[in-house]
Amino acid sequence: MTDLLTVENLTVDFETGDGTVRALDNVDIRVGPGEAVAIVGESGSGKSTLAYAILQYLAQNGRKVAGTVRLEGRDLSRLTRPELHMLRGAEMSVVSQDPATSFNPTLSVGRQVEEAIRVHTRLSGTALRVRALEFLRKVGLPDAETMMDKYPHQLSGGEKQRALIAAAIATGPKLLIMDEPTTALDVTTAAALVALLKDLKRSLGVAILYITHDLGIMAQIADRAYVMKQGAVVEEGTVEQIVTAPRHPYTQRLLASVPDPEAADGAEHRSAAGGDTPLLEVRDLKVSYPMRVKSGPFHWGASRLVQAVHNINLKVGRGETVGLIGESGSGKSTIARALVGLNAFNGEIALEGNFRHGREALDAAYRRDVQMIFQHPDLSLNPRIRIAELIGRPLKLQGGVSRTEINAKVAEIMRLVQLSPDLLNRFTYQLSGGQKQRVAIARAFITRPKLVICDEITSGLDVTVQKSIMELLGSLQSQFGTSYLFITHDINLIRSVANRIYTMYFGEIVEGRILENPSLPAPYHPYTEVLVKSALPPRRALTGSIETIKGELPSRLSPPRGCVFASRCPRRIGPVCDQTAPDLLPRGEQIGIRCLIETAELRRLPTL
Amino acid sequence: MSANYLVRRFFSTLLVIILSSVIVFAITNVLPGDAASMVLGEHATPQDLIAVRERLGLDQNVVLRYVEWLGGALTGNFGESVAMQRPVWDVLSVAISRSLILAFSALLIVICIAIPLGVLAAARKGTAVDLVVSLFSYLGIALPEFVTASLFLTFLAGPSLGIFPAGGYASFSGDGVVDALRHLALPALSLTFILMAHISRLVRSEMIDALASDYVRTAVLKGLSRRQVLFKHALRNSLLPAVTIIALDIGYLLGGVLVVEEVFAYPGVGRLMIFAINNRDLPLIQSTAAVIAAGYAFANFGADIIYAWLDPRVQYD
Amino acid sequence: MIRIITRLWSHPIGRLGLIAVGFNLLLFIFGPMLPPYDPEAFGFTARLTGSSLAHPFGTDEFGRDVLSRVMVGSRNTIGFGVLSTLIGTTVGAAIGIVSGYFGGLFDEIVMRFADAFVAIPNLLLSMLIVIAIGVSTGNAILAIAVSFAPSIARVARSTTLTIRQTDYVKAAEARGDSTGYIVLREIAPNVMAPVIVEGTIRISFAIMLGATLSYLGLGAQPPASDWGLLISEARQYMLRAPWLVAWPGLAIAVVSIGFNLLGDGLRDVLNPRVRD
Repeated sequence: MTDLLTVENLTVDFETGDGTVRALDNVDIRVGPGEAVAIVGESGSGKSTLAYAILQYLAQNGRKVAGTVRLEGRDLSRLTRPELHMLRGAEMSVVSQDPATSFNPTLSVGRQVEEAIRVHTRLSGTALRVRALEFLRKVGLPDAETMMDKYPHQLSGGEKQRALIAAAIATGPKLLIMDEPTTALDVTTAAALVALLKDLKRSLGVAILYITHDLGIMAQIADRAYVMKQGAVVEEGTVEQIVTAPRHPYTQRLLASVPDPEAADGAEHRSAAGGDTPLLEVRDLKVSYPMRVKSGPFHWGASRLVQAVHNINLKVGRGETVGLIGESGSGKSTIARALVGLNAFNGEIALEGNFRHGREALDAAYRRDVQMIFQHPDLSLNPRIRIAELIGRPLKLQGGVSRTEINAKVAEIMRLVQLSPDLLNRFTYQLSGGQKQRVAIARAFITRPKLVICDEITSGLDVTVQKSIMELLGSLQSQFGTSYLFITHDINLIRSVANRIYTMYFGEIVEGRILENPSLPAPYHPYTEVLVKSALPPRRALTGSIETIKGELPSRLSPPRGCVFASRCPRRIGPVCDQTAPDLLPRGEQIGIRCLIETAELRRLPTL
Repeated sequence: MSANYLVRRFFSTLLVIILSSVIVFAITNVLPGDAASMVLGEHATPQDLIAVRERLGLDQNVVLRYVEWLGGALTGNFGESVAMQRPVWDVLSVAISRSLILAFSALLIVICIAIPLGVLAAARKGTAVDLVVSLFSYLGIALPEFVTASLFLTFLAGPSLGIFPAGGYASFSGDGVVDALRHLALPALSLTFILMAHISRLVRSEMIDALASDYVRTAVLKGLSRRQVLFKHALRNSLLPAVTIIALDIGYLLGGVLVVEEVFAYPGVGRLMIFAINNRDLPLIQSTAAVIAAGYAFANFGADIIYAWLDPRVQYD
Repeated sequence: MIRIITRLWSHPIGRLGLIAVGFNLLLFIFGPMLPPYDPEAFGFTARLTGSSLAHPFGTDEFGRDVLSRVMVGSRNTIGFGVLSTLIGTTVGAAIGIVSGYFGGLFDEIVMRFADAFVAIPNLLLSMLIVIAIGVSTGNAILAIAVSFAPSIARVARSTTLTIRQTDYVKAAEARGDSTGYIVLREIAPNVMAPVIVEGTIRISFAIMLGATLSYLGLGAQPPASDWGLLISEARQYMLRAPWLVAWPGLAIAVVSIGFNLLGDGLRDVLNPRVRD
């Protein structure tokens, strides 16, 4: 078989302030016609550099040292600039990582899709529009007509990414390069996009070079894969071989770091469930925020209260890990912020049986016992404060602790989170992402809190780093008996560690359950099922097919009268779902499920 | 852009104008130092002071006087100039039209030259062209208008060359287009230096940011040529911040007008202001300053409208 | 401090700025100490002469040495710019941070007035203040400081609004930290970077404004040798002796460019996230 794309000994250097850095080191890859090939690696592996080097589009400080890139035998580095313009977008298209920034914000979506077609075809006027519409529909945007006239900011992330794919394939390219196209998207949106790509590959016969850090998605979409580390390809093979029988130690470590509920090898950490009185109990928590609504010439007094979350009841036992999962817009972070007093709320929060009503009642003792770790350490650690002060501050605030005591405790916690004491006088911008999150963990633990709220704390990290952070949290928990409220969108991650999981959708808890092991037996909420089937771990992804749901979250301004999930539910019963709002009722062994489907029917579902 | 937004911005512009007239009034009336002795100088006799106080109404309450002034100003009655013994508005209205011609000529020159220069420097980043533009703009930013104006006067209006008149004003209708332009040229050029430097630098840095953006990368990888990318994608987005900055620069421009009109004896608002200050003509000072502030506020109002019209993201609701 | 200077030194524009501002500092310290001639000494034999070995910058209408007058005027001119900017920036930053952090009605009123102040061109505003409180160098410094404060306050406020929303400020609020600590330790240092950048660039603007005020007779008064005043005095002889305008004008330009370059360098260097 003649290859479509061949890359041989490609070596690329970057000139940086600290000297020359080798970004790609003797990379050899090939992609056959109509084949889907994944490039997998963590940050810094050079996988994106490879994508853009293939497109002959290196950053200004980048330099090709050696190697060739051939498309159907033509050496791309020998093309003239006009030839390159003819080739890019026509024979070889790319879709990049962040749909939010890939569109020019000041031009309409239609114009930008048409532009891609116009530069490579002789189409204009109606014919051009017809072609653009055809491909917008082909990528699953049924409302293509109105979408053409919209501006990028009026589209959701998933819609934007689809429109970019439409622009990329409308010229009939032979190769489609996808650079982490789902990373910025929610799991269900990402799953739908992956399904679309598989479809397009089949129907258009286009070859796909798929750059990703996600081994589950790799297993879904690709025939073959290359694993990269620090600019070099360390392993190549079919995805089956890479997932089931990885040869290179790095690939093995990578696979072992991916959370996989089925691969419970005993190394997982699950704390023992706590006693009878819960450490934290939340009753009927409600958070609203004002939202401006257009009316009147001056918009005075026109804001309306919109509910972010409501009817929230949950418990965290002593020493337990409780998962709160959901996608963006589910309200899970709103709850976290209410629990640490950053959002005003209605309802009751009890710590060790002491009920507190409203934000003002969260006193100093409560604030000492409940700490929060934020998602992005870059944002939660002040860049102008040294690490020693960052970590010691909560202790100092407590009062009655001498400076030497504080220093001693800071040194102790630094050791516990495995950070070198040399870092104490540094600023956080001098640290890696994983180190920064360890600083944030150290700050949360310095007062020996009873409950630590972790808000998506590993979502910006590589899987191997994520694994080490999870292990650290586990050892701190077993040492101090701390409880965790672990907020995440990654159901695979939380299944392997949590004692209790609450699933959220559109501001409501739709399911609460107690776990003894990673399996999720029926009955369960249809949304929990969707979440599980949207993000299959690599092994499952080889065989199982992903479940996709259509549509978007309902509007906050006109919340649904019936079940919040009705508009997207794959197990929808009928119009009753739109009219009747179900209650969160205990079903079987579960704490509660908010669904109109009969318990008996839910019980018949297979274990997830 | 909604009509609501327009109305709202219009009213906040009015508020800014009124507040700035309050500030002007406060500075000239409330600050330590008596307005009457400011008018008459340090060697005034007590009788003169009393007379002036009475004539200017300084014996009345300050707030009352402001309200009276504002009421008059809204109906076009700005009071009477002490030094010229003529209604302020008669003098001011003539001066405004001349200054507008000057300011717009300068702005036009700036926009026509600075934007292309900035684009050129960004497109040729790191080359000799970029360096020359940068050097020029650093020099431009660092030379006050009175220095450039004086140098122009010395070298281009001197008797040896005599291409341009040393000063004064000629009207388009009365004195002919050529004469009017000759009188306009040097003052307008002197005003452009600082703005040109500032705006070309801004456009350059915005263009460089835009050229490094994801959407430009997307456009390049769609197969668009460099020219198409530069003009269809990058330039459009770089001009958005330029609109705001140009409007803010109107403040510099109006400040420059004061000096440049003085150097070239160009009889506009700036020269009137300096005349009023030198003669401590309180009614003329207050009204002229208020008019200048209003000019600035309206320029920014205009810029906001242009911005909203250019940028679909701005919804203003 | 030393760290910032070393980083500036390794930044192309920052290095030029350091050199130029270093030169300004030398001029400020030694300028009035080392003039080749007495700047006030009349020389009746050599009036309005061009550049020569004896008088590199030529002489004025009284035969005074222009180089000496420029050197002696440097301390006043540079000191004027630095002092007025320092006062205006400090006051403006304090107002902006407080207004931005506390928000509400106070913020609304402060910002409406800041908008109104900004609508009056700096030169006009400082002229008005000077004539109201009396013509003198000290008052001119005060006037320019007042005219700078509102726009600095706007810069500081908008940065404060951004910083107030960051998770590190949220974290401080969540642990129940005091308002003083949050404003002074968490917010202020992060607001200072853009304020310092803005302030540094404004020094050159203040120097030019001060010179303009002197030129218009509202700043330094004769027989001082402030650079603006030198040019103002040269007006009558401008056509015969253009160097009387050119040399002080060049001096203003050189000093201003230095602060501009340093400000641009600092903009890159003080941003902790954008490194390399």
